[in-house]
Amino acid sequence: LYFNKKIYLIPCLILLVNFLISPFLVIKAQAEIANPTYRESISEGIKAGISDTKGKQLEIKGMDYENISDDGEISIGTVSDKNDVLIWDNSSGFIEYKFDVKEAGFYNILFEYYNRSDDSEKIERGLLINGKVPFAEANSFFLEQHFKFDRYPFSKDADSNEIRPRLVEVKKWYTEVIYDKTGMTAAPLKFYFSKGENTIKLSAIKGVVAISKIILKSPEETQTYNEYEAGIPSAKGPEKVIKTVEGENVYELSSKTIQLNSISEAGVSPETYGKRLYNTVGGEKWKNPGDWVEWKVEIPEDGIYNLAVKYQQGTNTSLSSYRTIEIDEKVPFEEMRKVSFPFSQAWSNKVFGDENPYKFYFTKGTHKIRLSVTSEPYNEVYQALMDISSDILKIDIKVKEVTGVTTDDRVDLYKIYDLDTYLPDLSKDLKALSLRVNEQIVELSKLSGSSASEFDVIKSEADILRKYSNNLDDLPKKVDSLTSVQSHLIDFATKLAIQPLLIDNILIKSVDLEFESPKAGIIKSVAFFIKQFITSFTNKSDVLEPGSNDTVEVWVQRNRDYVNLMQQYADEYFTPQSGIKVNVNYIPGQDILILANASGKQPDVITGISRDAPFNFALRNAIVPLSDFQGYEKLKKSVVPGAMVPYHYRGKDYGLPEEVLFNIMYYREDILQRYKIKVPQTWDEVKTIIPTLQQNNMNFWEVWGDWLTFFYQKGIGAYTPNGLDLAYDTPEGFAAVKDWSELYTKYNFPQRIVSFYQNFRTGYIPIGISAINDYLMLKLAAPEISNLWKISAIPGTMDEDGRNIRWECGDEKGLMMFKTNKEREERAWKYVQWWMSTETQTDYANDLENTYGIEFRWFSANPEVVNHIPWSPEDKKAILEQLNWFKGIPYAPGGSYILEREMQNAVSAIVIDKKNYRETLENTMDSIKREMVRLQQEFGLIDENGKIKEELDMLQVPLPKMEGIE
Amino acid sequence: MKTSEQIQTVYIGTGKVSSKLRFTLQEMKKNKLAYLFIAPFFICFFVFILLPVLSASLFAFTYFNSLEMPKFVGLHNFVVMITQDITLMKYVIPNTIKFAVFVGPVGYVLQFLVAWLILNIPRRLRPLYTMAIYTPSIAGGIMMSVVWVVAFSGDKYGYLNLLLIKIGAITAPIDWTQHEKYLMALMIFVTLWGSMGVGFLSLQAGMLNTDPQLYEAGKIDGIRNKLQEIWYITIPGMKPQMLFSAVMGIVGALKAGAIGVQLSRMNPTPKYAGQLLQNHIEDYGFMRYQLGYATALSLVMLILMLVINRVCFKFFGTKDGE
Repeated sequence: LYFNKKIYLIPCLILLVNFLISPFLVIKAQAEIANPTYRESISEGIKAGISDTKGKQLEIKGMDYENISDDGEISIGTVSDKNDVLIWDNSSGFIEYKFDVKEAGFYNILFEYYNRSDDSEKIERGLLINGKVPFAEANSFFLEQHFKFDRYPFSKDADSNEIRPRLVEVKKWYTEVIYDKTGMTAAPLKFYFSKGENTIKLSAIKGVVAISKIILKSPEETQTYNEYEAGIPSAKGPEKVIKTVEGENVYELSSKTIQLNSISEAGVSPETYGKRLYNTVGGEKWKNPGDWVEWKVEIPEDGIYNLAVKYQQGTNTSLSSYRTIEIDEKVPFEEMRKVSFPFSQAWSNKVFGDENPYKFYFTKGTHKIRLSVTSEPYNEVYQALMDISSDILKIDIKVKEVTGVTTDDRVDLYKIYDLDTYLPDLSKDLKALSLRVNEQIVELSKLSGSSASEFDVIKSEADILRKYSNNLDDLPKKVDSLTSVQSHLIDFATKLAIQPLLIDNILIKSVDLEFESPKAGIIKSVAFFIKQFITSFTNKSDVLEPGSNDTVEVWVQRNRDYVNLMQQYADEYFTPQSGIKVNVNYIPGQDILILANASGKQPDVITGISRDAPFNFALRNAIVPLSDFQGYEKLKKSVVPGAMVPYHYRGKDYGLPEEVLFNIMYYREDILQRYKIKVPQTWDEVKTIIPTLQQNNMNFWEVWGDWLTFFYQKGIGAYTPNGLDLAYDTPEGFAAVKDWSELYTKYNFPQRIVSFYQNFRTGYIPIGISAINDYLMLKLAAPEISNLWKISAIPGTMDEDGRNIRWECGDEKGLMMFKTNKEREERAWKYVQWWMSTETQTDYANDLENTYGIEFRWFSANPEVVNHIPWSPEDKKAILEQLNWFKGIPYAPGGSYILEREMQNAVSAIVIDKKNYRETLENTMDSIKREMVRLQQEFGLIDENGKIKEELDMLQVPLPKMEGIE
Repeated sequence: MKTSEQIQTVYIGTGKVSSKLRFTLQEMKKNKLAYLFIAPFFICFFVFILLPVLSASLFAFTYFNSLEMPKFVGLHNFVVMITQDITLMKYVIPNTIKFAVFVGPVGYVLQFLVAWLILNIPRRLRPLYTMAIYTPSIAGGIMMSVVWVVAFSGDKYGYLNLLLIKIGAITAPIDWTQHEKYLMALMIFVTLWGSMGVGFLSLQAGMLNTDPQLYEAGKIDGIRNKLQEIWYITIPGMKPQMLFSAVMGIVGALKAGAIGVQLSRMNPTPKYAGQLLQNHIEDYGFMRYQLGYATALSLVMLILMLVINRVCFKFFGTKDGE
């Protein structure tokens, strides 16, 4: 006939091969071996006849190790009165112990240790027992430190606002048992040791520590309340005793993130009418598993008492927060392991034992009461939701293998995929998942006592699953039909583990009295309101009053928390040493600066401003060049040279960078390994992995419109060295734009995604470049992939000498100093010198994170500071590399605003409207140059005929030192 | 000799002025109570409106970068405006005219029409409808973020995209507010939606004010349909309200600017597609730090408004004998 039969044969063969291979791909994708959870491993152990050991204790001296690695700085010496202890002075390497166990069974593991570092970083060590991770929760553990406020009552400032007390570490030898760091188990973790020789291997993760002893101890059994009550001595109780311990009068606590709060509300003790008065402790930041607060209480005589806590928990709607109660470091009875504090937006009393208050026996004297966060009650629900969501993802992968719909542009609403034929179980599986979600809702409402309708958030996800099961054709109509369900479930599960609680008072009373009502009456509330209203007129702290004689006025364009800590820092460290007072104030936006300048009320120093502000103000003579001051060179050398680019104008530097917000490459190790993809180091390598990714319905993400990064990597700048013309009006410039636009037009990079974070979580964008802020987001809010992703410096471009050029142009925030008078400027400079010094920046960065949590990580422009921020060693390496390859955007008169604007329009014209790149770029450059010429005339750089009168010197950044290449 | 002549003329001149001034003062003294009554308003108007406007117009003739002392440059700013400001000529003026024509006259006709329609429904339902039409103009800011940004959102969850995808008009979501083709139309639509404000109320009040006896008389005099009724009775009877509404409408249309930025969440709007005169002024004043030029632009805008207002007065102003 007319056709050659071979033509048919080839596609048929390809199809056949594909068909044969694809099931294996799926199977491989699912074959990931995970460690069992604690619960699973314990119940398996019990099934196998293993039980708790009784009354055994085995001590292993820290110095008696069997094996150590070379990279650990491990020695034996004396630490704080203890001789012959193991000193582990860096956070790398491992150490192994070998010992004989006489009786097989479950043991707790305790450590006697001493924190060797002065910063409050948590000490974390990895744990292997007999060469294996015993269960998922124990792949690492924390060795906790205790903290104390340096004073109580707190001191006050001139306006009679209280000054936040400092938290200091309690330096001592601790003996602590290992707990579950995820908080899903309230009791100390139990580990199985067989009879005979066993090994424990510790590997360093964070912190430096001295260890004197490792103790294996039989788990202690906690009695029930009935047993406890039976054991109470029958002495007659005291009468008419009622004691209140102020929540803010903390004895010790476990983490710097737990905050004192000043709450201006009727009924809070002590009351405050608008002045800052710390009267409560905890709140949204006291939420992480294992975090505890301890109070001391003076008991007047032996006897029986009742306990209550006046609290508020308004964050987790309709969910309870849980705490473990310890009295004198011991849980008195089993019921105190998981005490629920139900959702309550108003102040209320949690009486231990509720309607029939538990009787607590106290002897006369001082006792300690500790409340620590536990999320054990949610353990099962949490685990179930996580399992459900990973099952959903598995189904989603199957569906997408059939449909191939992985990006928005592949959605075809009118195509019927006949999923039922390819995946006969799909409908059934989805229905089963929906039922499983509903089961968890029932569990939750049992736990919290609220009705099931309170959990509409996940109820609606169950409904969606059911809807899809009845209507399979709807699945491919949305790219994220299943993944959105999955991520909502994970978000909800993650929220379960978070247990905020705000405490006003700890209440203790003898049995014959009643607890006072926690609610303020109407009369009290009205009186409070009136008093507060009156005080609001006399409060001076909100007024910006710059220009006083002996004070440096600092304005900060950052969140108030940053500002508060900056003020505290200045008061504590700078003022005592220099005698200069500092007033740090928050400003909401930059527009206020122009007005302040016009009215002569400008501040001395402004920090946290956008990268273009120093240039714009320098151009108009409103700020002083920092490079004129003594000691400037030292500060300049401390930050990466590329970050100085935006601050340079006419031979002088007008600003200093505090933070750089660069982009970095994130990748999912699990997925890349599955498809045997190597992490690309250059853009050419990226291009080679694109086919593999896209064949498997995945893609690469690059920040949209990041053209300058490409220019930099190809050795092209934005402006000519004299700053009067564009530098990319050359064949190379055109080529660079072409190369860049081809990533989208030829390699089909996505132009717009709803969020990189979501796509990275679900794995549809397993590798991509995004801002460093996403690091925190992924760390905090994506627990299901917590160990599966890594970061690396962004891909580079090879130059002729074979060097991989990895320049990256990100954002930055910096500081500048206003022009005032000589005396004020000198004073302000002293402040800047102190503030920007490596020491201050390091301390501030660490304290910021310790005080407010990891989400306040400081992305310093100073590599030395970055080195001291608790990044994991591997991430730190990537971050330092990228930081060294950071090069900011330069500014020249006229170009400062027009360049980015016009180029942004140009790139969208080229990529989205598919216009010819050459023509578009030419037009764009024309209009940029026109504006530049106009401004150059305005500032007298060229005359009316375009003759050059003065040349600028754009900052040239040398290549950073690279490994292996001189 | 010369000097004495000069002195004389000056003397005569001042004499004239002073006699006039004396007369005025005398008159003021006579009517001092009236002056006392208008004083609070006049003082406020002078201090907070007239003085700032006059002093600000002076900046239009200077180079002023908002941080340094202004420098006098004569008409330079205006020369630049006409000869060099390509964005102004290419985007801003066409945009502003397009926007103003739709929002101004078209909006005005719409207001009139809606007011008249409401007039023709039963009396008890009237306040309800009036309220429903009037509310958007008060709640504008909030509605912007709650309704419109979501409605025109570029992903497939935006109401408009969702609807169009559902009925099959489009298959992939369109990023409405980022696209230069659609932005202007959206801006006009949203502004019209929220424009039934004070102007609309005053038109309605004007219509209600017309004496019903006039309609009756008109019928007797041979008016055959509603259209004639509007033309011969309603409109002549409500000229003051129509003037007020027209002035408010024009000022509103020229002053508008935030809408494009709010919708697209970009400043300047993508490819200047929604750049209006007001945006242009803000761009120069606060992003490019060229307050002198920005003031010159505002001065032009002020003059433009005055001219159009004059035209409105010509149309709707009550002449003697009316």
